[in-house]
Amino acid sequence: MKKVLRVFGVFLILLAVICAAGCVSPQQQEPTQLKIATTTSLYDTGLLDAVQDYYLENYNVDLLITSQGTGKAIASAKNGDVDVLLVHSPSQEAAFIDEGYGVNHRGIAYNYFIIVGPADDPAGIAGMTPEEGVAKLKELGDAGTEGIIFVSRGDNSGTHSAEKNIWKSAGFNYTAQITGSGPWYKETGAGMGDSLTTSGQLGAYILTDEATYLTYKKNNNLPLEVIIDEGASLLNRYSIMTISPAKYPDTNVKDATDFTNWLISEEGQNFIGAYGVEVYGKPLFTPMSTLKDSTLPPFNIDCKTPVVMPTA
Amino acid sequence: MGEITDGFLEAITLIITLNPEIMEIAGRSLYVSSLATIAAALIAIPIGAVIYYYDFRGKRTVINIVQTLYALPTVIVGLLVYLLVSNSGPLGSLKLLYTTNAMIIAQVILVSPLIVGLVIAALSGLDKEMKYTTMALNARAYRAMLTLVRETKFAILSAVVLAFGRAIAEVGAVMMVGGNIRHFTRTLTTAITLNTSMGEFSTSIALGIILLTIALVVNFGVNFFQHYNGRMKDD
Amino acid sequence: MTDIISVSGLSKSYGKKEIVHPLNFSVKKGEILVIIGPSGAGKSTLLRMLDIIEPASKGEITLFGEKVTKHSAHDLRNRMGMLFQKTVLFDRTVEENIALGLSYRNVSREERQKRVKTILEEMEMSEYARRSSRTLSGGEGQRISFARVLVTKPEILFLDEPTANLDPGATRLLEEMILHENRVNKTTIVITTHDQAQGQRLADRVAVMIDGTFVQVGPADEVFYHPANESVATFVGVQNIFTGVVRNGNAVFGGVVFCPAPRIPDGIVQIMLRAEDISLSKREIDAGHISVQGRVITSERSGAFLHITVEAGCIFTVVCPFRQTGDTYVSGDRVWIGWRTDAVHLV
Repeated sequence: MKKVLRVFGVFLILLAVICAAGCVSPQQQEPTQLKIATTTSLYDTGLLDAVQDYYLENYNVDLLITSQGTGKAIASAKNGDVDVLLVHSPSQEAAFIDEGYGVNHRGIAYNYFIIVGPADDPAGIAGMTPEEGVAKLKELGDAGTEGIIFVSRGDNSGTHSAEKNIWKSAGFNYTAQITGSGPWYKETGAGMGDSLTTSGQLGAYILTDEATYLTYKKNNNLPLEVIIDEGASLLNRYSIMTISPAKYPDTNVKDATDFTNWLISEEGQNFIGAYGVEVYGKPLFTPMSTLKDSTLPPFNIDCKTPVVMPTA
Repeated sequence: MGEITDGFLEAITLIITLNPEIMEIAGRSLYVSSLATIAAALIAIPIGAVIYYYDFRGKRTVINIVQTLYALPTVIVGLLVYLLVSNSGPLGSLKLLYTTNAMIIAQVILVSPLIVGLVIAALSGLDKEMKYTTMALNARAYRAMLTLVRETKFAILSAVVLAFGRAIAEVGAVMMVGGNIRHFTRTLTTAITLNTSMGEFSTSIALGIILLTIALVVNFGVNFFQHYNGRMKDD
Repeated sequence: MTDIISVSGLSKSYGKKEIVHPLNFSVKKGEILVIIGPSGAGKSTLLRMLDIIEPASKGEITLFGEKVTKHSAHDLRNRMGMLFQKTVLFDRTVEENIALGLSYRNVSREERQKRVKTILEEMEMSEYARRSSRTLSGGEGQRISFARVLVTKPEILFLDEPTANLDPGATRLLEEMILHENRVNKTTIVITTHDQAQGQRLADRVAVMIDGTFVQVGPADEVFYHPANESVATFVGVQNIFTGVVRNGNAVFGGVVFCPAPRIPDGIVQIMLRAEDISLSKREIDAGHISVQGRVITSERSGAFLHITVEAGCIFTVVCPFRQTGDTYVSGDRVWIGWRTDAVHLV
């Protein structure tokens, strides 16, 4: 009996050593920490992991990035659980700022949503505008045409908001006419990657951000092709906000301000513009600073003026 | 098929070369779940012993509730702890959200009912006379409970190991309160979720293999103890 | 001699069911009281209440002249010990098992070792000290359990069917230890058993407990030969019980005159006659006996004894040592049965 307990003791000690080894990562003079809430579709591209490593090395600030659906990300920002919010949902951002939660709103990059689908395009919507395309899908779907499926995130994410906007500008009432209107319209309630995989398995059409699509296309031979990639409603704008110290005075506004200014600086913008070229052959994001004037529609956001540290 | 074998081979490579990020994640999973399990055991074993030892009104109901909590959904625990430790929550000032400590708290809540219930079950498996004997030998209640718990040490150890298995395998709660932050709160399960949604299936497989290996080692450990115990009894 | 245990109105109910009906009795210091009765009579529950392991529903217990209350329980229990039918051994060594009660009493380590060593020597079981309790036989285990109780030097011992699971040899050994403890240390002992013979071997006084109540309390011989009623008689092994009548100064049933009953008025009477007290013969039985002729119905061997039923006006059960009868008896044989009139007990 004693022997068994001794063996068990050794096992516990080994376990503790492994744990300790796993948890103590080499750290030079205690970096400060900046908490960032972001959305899965942005995080899943890997851009922010690259930024995290680079920023820690050069500025000695640890970016603690938590990625959630847009709704949850905004909720944790509203609870004051993070210092910075990094999302891509203009209407929700505007509400967030109007309610006094966010300050120092800056655009950092953009790319386009695209509608992808089976290579043979059974609905024949290639070349249409996004609005025409979805209208056709709805028509065929309602008629019960074989092989016509549209997959939606259905999770109030930024991508889902963009999709709802397209339905709206195509003349449909989303709640009354689209969601739950038949077997052709399937909501996954999952992240972008999972929804793309589902879509690929079903041979369905789906609205996606380009970056996640390219990542997926490369990593798992996603059997979906780009069907529609032009149209004003497909713009996907990424922006950053600092949580207002008026709401939560104990957040890390200093690092938040510095990080925002780094992102819109030449160095930051070049970092964003270069990300993905090596792997995918083209950048996943276009830096906002490449625009002549980003404050004009459809972008409507400042991307040049450095921010100053807000005070309570 | 090719995808799976490729993923598998790549996974093996990642493990054999001790890929630092994967080792770090595995280490953190072990750290969080071990500490959570030990803390839960320290809380739950005395509670289980007290519920077993004393006869009180509603005891049956309490046991039923504890057993129902075995199946406590991890996301509910996650939500509860999130609301508690969120900056605007009652424990917000402790700045626990998105830390390993918050994950440990969530796992403690998650697995404690399991240990409480199994401790009660283990003690109830003892002859009633054994409890009477401790009383007749005039043990103070806590001494009697210590004696009886010691008598069921193998069953209780199995319960603790089972709890560890539930802790290390759960994803919902640690995802919500830990935030899956790279280098800080990423564990095997949250990393698997993330890598799967990023399409990095081979990394997911590697992490899955490590998780399964940990589960296997732990289970073999339990079986060894139970076997050892059983053999002694047959002598 | 003073009352060391005294009980008044003590009862126990589980839910609506009363397991032990209100009891009043007392036990004198140094006495051995044997409570006999069938399983389920409430004996174990009663013992647990006396040892303050189980709370009483109603009534009062006084131990060592002090009333049992929540406050006095711990100190009172310190001076008592209890042994159970089911042997309880903890998964440790024999000496650790024996020392358990002492360590609960915070006796020092050296003192514990000394006392454990002494008691093992007294029981001639010293070589068992380091053995795992799992390696003990039933009898050894129960003796170690008993040692665990004795080592705390109890003044009152409660023994709940301590030999029920033991073979005859182990039973005899434990009984000797019980008697020794009583004689040498003047320990008061309350023991339950369903074995009436054990009751006879150990008892200063016997209490018969049936269905939660003491039906009869008294010296062993009185209970065995003068049972207070039919249920006690059945329990103590009286096999011939007839509901007869007293007529003209005789107890009669089935046309058989059992004995004279000069002081009993005419009316219904329970006639009890132990099977062992009936002689059986192929010839007429001597004077001084009541003698009746009858016919063998069944004849069955049970160990060293013959169990024979005889029809002689009514059906008698007779037990006699197999070797002494000399004769063989088969169904239909004509026989004589007889008994001394003082062997008959009338209620």
